[in-house]
Amino acid sequence: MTELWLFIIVGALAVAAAVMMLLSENAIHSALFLIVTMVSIAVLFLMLNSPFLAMIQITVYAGAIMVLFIFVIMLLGAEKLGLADPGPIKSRFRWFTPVALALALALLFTAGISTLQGNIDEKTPPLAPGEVRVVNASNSGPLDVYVGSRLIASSLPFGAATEFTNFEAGQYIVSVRPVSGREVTTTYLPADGMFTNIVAYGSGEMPQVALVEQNFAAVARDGDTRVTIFNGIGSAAAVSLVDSRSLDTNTDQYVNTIITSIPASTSASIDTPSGEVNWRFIDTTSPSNTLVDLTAQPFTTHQNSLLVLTDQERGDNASRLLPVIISTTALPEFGSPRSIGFSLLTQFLLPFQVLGLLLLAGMVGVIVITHREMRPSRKIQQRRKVSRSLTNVISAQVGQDVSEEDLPQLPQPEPDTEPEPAS
Amino acid sequence: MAVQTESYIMLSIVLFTLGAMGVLLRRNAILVFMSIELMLNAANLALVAFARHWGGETGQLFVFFIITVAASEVAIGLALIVTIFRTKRSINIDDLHEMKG
Repeated sequence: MTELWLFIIVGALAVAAAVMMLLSENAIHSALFLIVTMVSIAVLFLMLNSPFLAMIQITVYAGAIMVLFIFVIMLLGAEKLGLADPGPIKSRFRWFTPVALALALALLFTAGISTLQGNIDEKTPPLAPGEVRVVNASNSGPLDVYVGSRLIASSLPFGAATEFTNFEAGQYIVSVRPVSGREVTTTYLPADGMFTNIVAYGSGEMPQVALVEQNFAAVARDGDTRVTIFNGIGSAAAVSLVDSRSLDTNTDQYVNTIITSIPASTSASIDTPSGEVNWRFIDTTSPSNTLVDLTAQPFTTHQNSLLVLTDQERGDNASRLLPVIISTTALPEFGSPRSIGFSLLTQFLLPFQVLGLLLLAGMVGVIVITHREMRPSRKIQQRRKVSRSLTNVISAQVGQDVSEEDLPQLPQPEPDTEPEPAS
Repeated sequence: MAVQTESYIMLSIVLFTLGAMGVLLRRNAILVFMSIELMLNAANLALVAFARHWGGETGQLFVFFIITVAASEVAIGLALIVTIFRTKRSINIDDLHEMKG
């Protein structure tokens, strides 16, 4: 509700300032009203989830372009224009006003009807097709994975993951084939906008396969990072995630439990402030049994991490629990400077550089256009060829006056005057 | 969302119409320029509204380009006005309708 009122107030301010800009007699007042319009449009940009553009609007448009306007108005002395403005007195232009008003009303009418009846909001933006990748956290050695008939992982070693690939809608048979042993199959249905991990985990010759979905949407709070945790521990125990430094020595309990329980072969996701975390995965049933310890594990911003808890077999039947962490670069938040910079420097690099060249050309062009040849001062040409005292000496010796009237003189141009107010 | 995209588009249309009226009806060349800037701002507002609606950032990127091009256009246009003013001593566009001098 407050957003609606804010929109109404700021929108009315923008329209009122625009109308006052058109009706104002003084050009400086018009420029200032236009600055008010631009600042209110910057506020509207803020309401539309684009903080970067709002700041650019204020800095470049209201701060540089309008200041340039005011410079030129003051330079030309045009601020008093309105008092002497005769209006469209030339007869050939007299038909402008009613035609312009009629055109404006027609535009408002047709555009308004089409906007209000056009049902813009009934269309939802299309989602990207579903994507899938393979994560190998199993002890069966390098894996070959087929989805449908496409090979998406070949000889994938332990702890590695492939890139995301997208599949069209349909049902696919996922076939996980370790080097030794038979294949394990499951089914996969891609859904629009969903990112799925095919996680192969577990000890033994045959891997267990699970489909873990990962959420790549932007985090709610800036600076957070998202971690998706999958419990693939072979003993089929449910784990809890606690803060390892919150151990209360008196009761031997962890005070700060981040996730209460992740049952076996399921996943959970958490948004945590980025930085180093001190996590500990304990057995839910017996809190003193620490399964995996992550001390000073860095999770940086703009990263989306998948953490798979699995057993890693070492020689002589010993195994240890290991987290396999796959980090992916997360998408930057919509409208933030980082996301716009990301697009500018990858997808739109060529227009960006061409615009830089355009600005450079514009700068040179402005200097060339306004450049004025400075002719040398008249005084140099009016100086006598010979000084006055010397002319007296010469005339005394020659016997006749040395007169300058016969000397060819350059035509005397008018002196430069200050620019007058435009009539 | 509390405010529909249609409201932003209507506001953009109203501002664009005001700018177009300013271009047609005012006699001062600098005021014509400022009305052109108002029209560009209205287009920017429509682009950002649709960028938010469709969730893509290409709209915001295009607004960035438009602001840049508008800056260079304003610089060159004002330089031309200053140069014309030096010879004609007037920036009333009724006096400038012939390409003489």
